[in-house]
Parts: sequence; structure tokens; C-alpha cells
Amino acid sequence: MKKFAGVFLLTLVCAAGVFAQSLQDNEFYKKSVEFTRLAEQALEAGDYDAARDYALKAQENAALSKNYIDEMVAAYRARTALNAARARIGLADRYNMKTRNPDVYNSATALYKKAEGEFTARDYAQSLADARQVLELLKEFEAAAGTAAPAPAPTPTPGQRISRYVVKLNPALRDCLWRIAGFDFVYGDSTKWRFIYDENKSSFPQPENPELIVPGQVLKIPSLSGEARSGER
Amino acid sequence: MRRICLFLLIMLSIALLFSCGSTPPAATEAVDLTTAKNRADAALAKAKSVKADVSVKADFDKAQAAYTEAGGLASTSGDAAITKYLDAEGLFLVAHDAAVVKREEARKQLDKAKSDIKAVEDEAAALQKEQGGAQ
Repeated sequence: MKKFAGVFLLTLVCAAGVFAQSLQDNEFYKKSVEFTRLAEQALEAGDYDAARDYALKAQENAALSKNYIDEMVAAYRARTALNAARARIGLADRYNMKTRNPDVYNSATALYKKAEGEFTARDYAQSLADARQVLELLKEFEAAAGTAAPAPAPTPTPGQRISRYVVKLNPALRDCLWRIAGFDFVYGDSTKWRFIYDENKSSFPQPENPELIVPGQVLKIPSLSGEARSGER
Repeated sequence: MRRICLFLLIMLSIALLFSCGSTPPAATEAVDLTTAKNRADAALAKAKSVKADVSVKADFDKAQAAYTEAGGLASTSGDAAITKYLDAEGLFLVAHDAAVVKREEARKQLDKAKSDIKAVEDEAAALQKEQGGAQ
């Protein structure tokens, strides 16, 4: 029953397109709006002490909402930089940098791993800084990244099942685990969204919240029944 | 003898001078019962206009008690009733002023809350646009 309720809720959320990617759609913001409404009611009724107290709570929750938004944006920026850093390392591999310049290459890959760890630990500011440092170390590939058919994520061939999915920002049809699991190149079955969540939750901005994924986030798609998986989309 | 009389006369004059130096007490304003009641009624209405009966209930109830007592005294002791109505007027005005202070504080905090929420909305919209643009 609980599973059904969770699946139903996720469907509703995806269908309504009001996923948590909407930055202000967080509990603190909703509370601040509600407390403001209560304050206005109390003011109208003449209970000025209550109106003042509700207004102060609204301010408190607005501040918490701002902190939440700042954190989500920091996560997005760090994830975007990490993706770029990973792509740059891919290019470095393609151009055999490991042999040509092992010191720089090893520094870059070590720093990338560090940045990933910091992201998981939600130290987004440091993760962003380190990811940018990786990009700086591998600067020579910057032009190649812009001109070459990049380390583009190999597009899956028909029938192929991918092993990684990069979360998109499409305001019309927002990505969510339910929709992603339903893609043919993932599971073709939305109800299997939980497998994706369990595999990746440690890297979620809020590990206990499967609804919150950010554009640019890379989700590992685990194999469920031994099927071969490769590629990214 | 003459000197003594002269001295006494001078002392008497001085004493008279000082006694006349004090100003007479001001005549109290004559307020009749109707006027006193009207003033109390006006103060009551003023207090209610800012919802003092809710926001500063204790103060308002004290004023209301004085007003009710004045009403009870009106038929038996006019002077006492006038005094009570004037007391009630004063107390209603105190309640009014206290309610206004509380109301202004509540409004100030509510305005700040709305301003904070607007700032959050604006920031979220700007950042959301940035994310959309970056895609």
C-alpha cells in the first residue's frame, strides 16, 4: 500500500510538472507563505500579538527557503562543473595525456575524485572549486571540447540499454525518476524507478528525497537482470 | 513703642504680601453627565476601531468596567457617575494607544515577511532562468 502510494504520488508530481526542480517549491517557502496568510488573518481579527508572531515565523521560514535555494543552486553548479570536468578527462584520455603528461593527468583525475567526494558530502562550494581546477589543469583540451565531436556521450543504438543517464532540464516535461525509468533505453517500466534511486541516492542533493534531482546530475542505471548496459544519454 | 508698632506693621505687610502672592486655584471645568458619557462613548468607539477589545483585552475590560459602573451610578449619584465616565474615557484612550502600538509592530513585521518572500521568489526565478539558459 505504501509502495503504491509512493508510486502514485510520484506520478502525480511528474504529471503536474511541478517537480522539485522548481527552486522555490520547498517546504520552507510553503510554510512562509502559510504563516503570512495566518498573520494577515490575525491582523484583520485584531489579534496583533499573534499576527506579529506569525509574521516572525514567516520571516524565519523565508530565510530557510533562501538557504535551501542557495544549496540547490550550489549543487547544480557543482554538478555542471563536475560533468564538464569528466568530459574534459575523457578528452584527455582520447588524446593519450596519461602517457604524454602523467603528472598533470594524475593530478586532474585525483582532483576530480576529490571533487566527486565533496559533492557527495554536500560540500558544493569546494566541489565546484575543485572541478574548475580540473578544467584549468586540462585547459589544453578546452578548444577540442568546443570543436570536436566531443566526448559526446555515445548515443544508444536502438535496443541498447544505457548505463548512465544525465538529468535534463525541460520545463515542459521535467525529468523525474518515474519518467526516466519509463524510457525504452532505461527500463521501459516507470515502476522500476526505485532501482535508480537506490543506486544513486548517496549522490542526491537530499539522499532521503527521491524527488529532488538536478539538471546535469548523472544517474547510474543498474542492470536488473544481468542485461548488458553501456553508453549515456 | 512706636518702633515696635512699625516693626509689626512691616511684618504684617510682608505676611500679607506672601499670602496674596499665591495664585488662586483654577476653576475646574464643569462637565455634566451627558457630556461625560458622550466623551466616554467616543473613546470607546475609538478603542474599538483599532480592535483594542481583542488586542489589549485586559486594558479594554478595565475601561469597560469603569464605563459600566458609571452607568450604574448615573441614577443615584451624578457627580460620581461623571467621574467614572471620565475615568472610563481615559482608560479607553489608553487601551486605544496600546492597541495602535501593537498593530503597527504587527504590520511592520508582516511587511518584512512579505518582502522576504518576494526576495526568495525573485532569486528563485532568476536562478531558474540561469539553469534554463545554461541548458
